[in-house]
Amino acid sequence: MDGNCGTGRSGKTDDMIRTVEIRIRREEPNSKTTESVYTLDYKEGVTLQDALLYIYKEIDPTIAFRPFKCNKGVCMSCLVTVNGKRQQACTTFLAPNDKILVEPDVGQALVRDLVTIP
Amino acid sequence: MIDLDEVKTDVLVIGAGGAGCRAAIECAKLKCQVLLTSKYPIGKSGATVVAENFYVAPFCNSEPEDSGDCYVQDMIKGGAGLCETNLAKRLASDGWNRVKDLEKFGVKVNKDQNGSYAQINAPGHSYPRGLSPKGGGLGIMRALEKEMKKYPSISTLEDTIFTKLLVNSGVVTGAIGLNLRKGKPVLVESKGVILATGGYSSLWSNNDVPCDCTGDGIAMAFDAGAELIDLEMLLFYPTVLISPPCVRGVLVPHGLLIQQAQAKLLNSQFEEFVPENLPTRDVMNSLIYREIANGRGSPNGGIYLDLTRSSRSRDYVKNRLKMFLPEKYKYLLKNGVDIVRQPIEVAPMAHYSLGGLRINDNSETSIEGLFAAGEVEGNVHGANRLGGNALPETQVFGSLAGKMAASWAKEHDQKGTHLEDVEAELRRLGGLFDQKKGSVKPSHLKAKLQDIMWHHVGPAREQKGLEEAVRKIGHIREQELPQLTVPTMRTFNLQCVDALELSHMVDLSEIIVKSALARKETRGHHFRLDFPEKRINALHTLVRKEKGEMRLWTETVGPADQVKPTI
Repeated sequence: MDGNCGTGRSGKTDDMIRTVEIRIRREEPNSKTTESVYTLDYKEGVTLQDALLYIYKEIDPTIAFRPFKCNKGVCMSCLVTVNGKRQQACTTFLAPNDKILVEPDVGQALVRDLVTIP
Repeated sequence: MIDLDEVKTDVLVIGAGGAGCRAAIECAKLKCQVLLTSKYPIGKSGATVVAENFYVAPFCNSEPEDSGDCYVQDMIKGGAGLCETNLAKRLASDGWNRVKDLEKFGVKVNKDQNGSYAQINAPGHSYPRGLSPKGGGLGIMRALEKEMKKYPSISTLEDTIFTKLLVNSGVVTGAIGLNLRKGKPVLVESKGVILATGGYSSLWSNNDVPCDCTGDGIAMAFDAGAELIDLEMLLFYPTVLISPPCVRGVLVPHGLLIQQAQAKLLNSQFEEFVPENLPTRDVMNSLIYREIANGRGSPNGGIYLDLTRSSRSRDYVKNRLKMFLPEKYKYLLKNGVDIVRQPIEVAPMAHYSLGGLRINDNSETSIEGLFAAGEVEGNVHGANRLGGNALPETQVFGSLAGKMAASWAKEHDQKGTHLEDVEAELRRLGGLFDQKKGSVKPSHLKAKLQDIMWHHVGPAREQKGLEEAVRKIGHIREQELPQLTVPTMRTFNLQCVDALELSHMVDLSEIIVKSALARKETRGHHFRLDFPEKRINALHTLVRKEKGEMRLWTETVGPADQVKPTI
């Protein structure tokens, strides 16, 4: 696990700060589905993969996602479902005030949260 | 005692990049049962999938003057005297045969208009030797994955990190890992083990490799008593993007862009500082270091790679990028970085582990039944690797290790596993999930260690910084590692992966720093500010665990013998 960039909730009260709301479907086979909501400060050029890494490192160490990144957009390790659409987290850019729902890749066996068996 | 899965096989292959997959195929061809394992899914992890489409194979059809001998001499010179001649000869003798295998597996290699293999040049090579397999490392992986499906004797175990090699009286008997999908340990008993776990470039905070390159295999082998060689040698790639943040860590091949598209490397005064005849990567780093140290670096501490000042038209440049760097060019565009229209800031970052397990020209390590293939081995390239030599290394040594391990497994019975070793490792793994006592997150401690390695053991080193690193790593081991806290859930617990990787990384960091302190000279990528000269004699740094302690010694580079090609 490693990563360089991220975004974060700074705790400032300036209402000019733009945020991004990421809802993640949490699920394990044979257990109840829940949802976790994370609000992050918006930072330009941040991808969903960066945001997941930030959430994992700084907010919620229990989140399961695929951390691998090939830096070319070709390996498809980070495929997830964003607002109902199948997308690579590494090339999904977040916009200010985005509210997105992230779910696991469809049609694959689920391991936990966003991790499936490809 | 925690619950355990148990598997028996002839050969266990740990790591499923180019080398591991090639090794599994070779074992299966020789009618061996193989278990191929991978920390994350195969083809979606490891360093091979990120490799550029540059595969060096010396052969004589396009350059009649070129020869295997000339290639070996280039490797010895490029490796600053630390490359083992017999291993270079192995790469020379088998490289082309392994390309033919890849073609049989379905890899397409670019050809020119006359139908002969298109070969391009790279610094340090006397002749153009670089082939372009379509799709680069990923193209090779997809072909290997397809080929493996033909062999029912290959089983796979994905999302499993291995943590312990089992050895009985100097002979390997298997390994223990943690299956992340189940959150359950697995004991594999096998007659032979092939380590193909790749390198340790993730130990440095500035790197261009995937997050899983944490040197697990090398750390496990050290713990099991294997000899490691030249761990201080880490290849820092000269031109990796440092800005903007979303593409930090993306490698941009300067040699290719300069040769194919007349890119310029510039300092902050927009002056060129690299000779026209491009030097090898180690020399490039020292030139870049000089610019930055003299206040001529870019705002984020690098230099500029500039295609806007190319003597060629923008369309020409764009076409060359589409031809030679298709996926990456597209990926950078998607990330809002158009390298045709804007100069980019680049700097040296950790890229490839030159050091690793000591092997002989049969891919054997110093532990019987344990073989190593690919980046995990440590004496193939010496103090610097020439461009395009990593992919052939995976295929040549992968195939060789597969062949040797298969014949080892045929000739030997399974040795018994020491039960107390298994129990101790199961206690350690089980204990991970119960660490509620501490307050240190494994992912945070890992980042801290990576920063220490970058600041004190980076591309330019000196005594004081290295000693500081010894002290800080010692503090991590003694004060912070015992304070780790890991969430208690079993399934796909990433903090648990971080904790296991971290324990490997701490072990390796100590070896790397002590090896770097011992090498009081500048050679290849080991750039000592306080010892700027190269010693007359080229010496390897060797380490081995003896009675629980690390022993370090030096040896001269081995002699050259006859190396017969492997068909």
